[in-house]
Amino acid sequence: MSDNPIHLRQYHAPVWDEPVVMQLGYPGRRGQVFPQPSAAAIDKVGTASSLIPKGLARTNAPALPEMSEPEAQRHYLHLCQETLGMLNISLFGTCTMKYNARVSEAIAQRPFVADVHPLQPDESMQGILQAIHEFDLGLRALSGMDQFIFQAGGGADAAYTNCVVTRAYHKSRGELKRRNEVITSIQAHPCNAATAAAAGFKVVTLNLEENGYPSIGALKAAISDRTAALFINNPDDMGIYNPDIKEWVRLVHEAGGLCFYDHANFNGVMGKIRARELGFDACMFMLHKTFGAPKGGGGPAVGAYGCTEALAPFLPKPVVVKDDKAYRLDYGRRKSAGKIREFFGNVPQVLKAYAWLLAMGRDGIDEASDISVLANNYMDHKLAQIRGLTRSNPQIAKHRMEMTRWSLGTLKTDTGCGTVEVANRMADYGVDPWWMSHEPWIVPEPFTPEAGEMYSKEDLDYWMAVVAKISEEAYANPELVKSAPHNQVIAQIKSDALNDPAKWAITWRAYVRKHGKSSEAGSKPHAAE
Amino acid sequence: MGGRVGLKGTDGLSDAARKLGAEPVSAARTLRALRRLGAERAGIAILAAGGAMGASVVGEAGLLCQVITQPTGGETSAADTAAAVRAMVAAGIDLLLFAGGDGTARDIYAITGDRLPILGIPTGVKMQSAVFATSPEAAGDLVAAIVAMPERARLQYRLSEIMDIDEDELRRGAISPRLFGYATVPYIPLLLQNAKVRNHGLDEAALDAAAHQIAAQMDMNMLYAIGPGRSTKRILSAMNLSGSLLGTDLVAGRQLVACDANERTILGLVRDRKLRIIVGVIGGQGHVFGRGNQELSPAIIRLAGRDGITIIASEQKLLALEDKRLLVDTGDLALDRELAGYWRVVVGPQEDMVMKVAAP
Repeated sequence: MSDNPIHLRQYHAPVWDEPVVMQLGYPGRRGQVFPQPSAAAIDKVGTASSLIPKGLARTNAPALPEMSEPEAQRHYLHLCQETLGMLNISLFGTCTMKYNARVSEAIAQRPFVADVHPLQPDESMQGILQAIHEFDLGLRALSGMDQFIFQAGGGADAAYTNCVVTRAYHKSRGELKRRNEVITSIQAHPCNAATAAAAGFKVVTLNLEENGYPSIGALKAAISDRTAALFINNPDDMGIYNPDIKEWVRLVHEAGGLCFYDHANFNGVMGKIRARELGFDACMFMLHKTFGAPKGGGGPAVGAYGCTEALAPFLPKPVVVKDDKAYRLDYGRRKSAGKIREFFGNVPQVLKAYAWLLAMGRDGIDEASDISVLANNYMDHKLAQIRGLTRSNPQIAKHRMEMTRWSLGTLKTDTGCGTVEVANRMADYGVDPWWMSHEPWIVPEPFTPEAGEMYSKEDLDYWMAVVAKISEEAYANPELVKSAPHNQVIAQIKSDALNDPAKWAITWRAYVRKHGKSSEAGSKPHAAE
Repeated sequence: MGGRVGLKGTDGLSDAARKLGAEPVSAARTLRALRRLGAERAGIAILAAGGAMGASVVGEAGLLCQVITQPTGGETSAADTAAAVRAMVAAGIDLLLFAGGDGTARDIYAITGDRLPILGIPTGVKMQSAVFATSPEAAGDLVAAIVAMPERARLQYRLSEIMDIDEDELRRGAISPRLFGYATVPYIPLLLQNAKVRNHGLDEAALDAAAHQIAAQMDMNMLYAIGPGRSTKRILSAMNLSGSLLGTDLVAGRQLVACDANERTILGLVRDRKLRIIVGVIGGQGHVFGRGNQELSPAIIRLAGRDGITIIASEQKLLALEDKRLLVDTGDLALDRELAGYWRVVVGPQEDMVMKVAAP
């Protein structure tokens, strides 16, 4: 790709050198000034502060920035400009990135969603409950499961949900004491092993073998009468689909274990396979990625957890159910494993995902998985031509699914530039740096781009042209890449502070406590570390 | 020689080894390698040092060779090795195949440097250098593959570590492998050992916790043979016992009953007890048996049985194995094949990793 026809933009991020919002403004300045209540109103109902119950009233005023509305707007515009705007080409890595449709955002802000309180009577939120139930039916159609819940606040939380359901199931059969092992694979999402360990299970990890996934022989060595469950992704982060999965499920069931399909990588198989038909007892979808709701900084997440009728009694409560006449929250579930999280989930996200599902329709979902697999294979073909890049499991000729784990091991050996250095340099070309691939790095210096169905061919070409350009730079002038970024808001970040509890601060209060009040005057905490 | 008697290499110590009942294993293992040449033998012209240094075993394998030097008689020495290597370099050979361990590799490297490709048939006790094939068979297969290659130019070489441990320090219990240089080694993945990778310490806590768990669950009526290495010795530390770092220590009734035991001692102490072997994994190479723990002989391994063996290693060490599999090379091929298959390796107190164990 050295004679690159793609014009790389002469990008430079704006450098605002601006303090954090807590250091802006002026004491007493206000964005909105509200009228005082009339004396008559006060006479009738009392002052505003007297209306607040004593137990809820704060004793000290909150420390808030004091600024005008345009100052606040300007500040956040600057922040947006300094962070590549959140609407970039972001192939991220080990993560499904999708555009979050504005219409879904608008729906979630409507009063019938935004103003509902989870404790209000069921009769007064029939619309919300109906939407949740209908979305549940949609996920059942995609998975073959019998009941979904939306309590989990993310994918790992849904994996944990599976742990508590698994525990409750084996306990009900008097087998929990013996069945204390969860089997997973080294390249399944790390939350599978982590949540199983957190829930008190012993973890048995399978390694990938020549085919790019663990062998049936390895699985058999792991299975015993102690097996509680199998937690597995398919495809995993290598992007290779395990065609023996039905036999895996059969073997685990034969030994008395349950099977959980972590659908974090659903994008490549959606509309093509159904977890239930492969024999699985439960599965998980990430609404904040696969189903078009925002992820990461964009908003709270939801891990939708679904299971068979046999496991449904153990689900955390409440479950949204439909009776003859109405929808209701069913709290009266005697065998329920309890609660994973408060109430019944991040409802605005469920609504956004439901809007996405309706907009896509069955054919749209089918086509989206085709496009995402096609896009990844197009990238596989083009990336293979870039010097210093190698595909994981290079001996396997068959096509990957919706993502592929790549390695910069050769580039690192040849030039000293690895996945961190290249990511830093990407920001200089105005595309989002890739996210670091999940541990463990069983291929050296990995990156795992996922094109999905939303990015255009031009976007993918531009992204790959950036990677190709950086490879050329690494071979010609490695120092340029190692010292990147050069066209960004700030220079390379020293990550030491991120590993030092004495220094890290994710709130202003923590920052002042750890770095001292003196840091307030004239310092630039955002540029320092 | 040396493995079976629990010595850490016999450089300059072969008399002591013989008194303890050692017999040279080098010829038998070299024969195993040469027998793998099969149909490719016709394509090879072999130069060999005379007698026990090479020519005898070449003849035993049914191959013809030209004898290029004769050892000075009696025990072969480093000077004999050097003379033979010099003659071979002068004769312009393509590949130097040798049998031995790190000491021999070092002696050869001192003469060849990185100018001549070399390949080791693993017959020593310590083989931390990356110039050894994973087994005698693998060495033979590699030579056969090279000869069978239509274009020799396509063969890949890599510079591989020549490492050795100071044997006196090793006997005192301190590991200090030194890097002596890089030799040129023909390279076909899966057939060569990687240079030993030192544990970088991320999984220390998990291993310690696993060791405490194993210690706490010990059966008072069993004999435990705790093999060499840092991972396994954590179990002794968990019981406030101090054994040997690089030898096999025996524990019964939570007491240390033998330190740095040899095969004879272990067999003598088993009596009517059940035996459990706890072994580690050699970093980079993946050996479970047959490297640095030859005192755990085929007889002892059979006594413990497959269910009587625990393997413990850090997850990082297992993941750093290039070929993602463990190896056994006990010296008894039938046993190696019995041990092959999938094993659960303890990587933490509540975590096992399933690893494939391959026989030579």
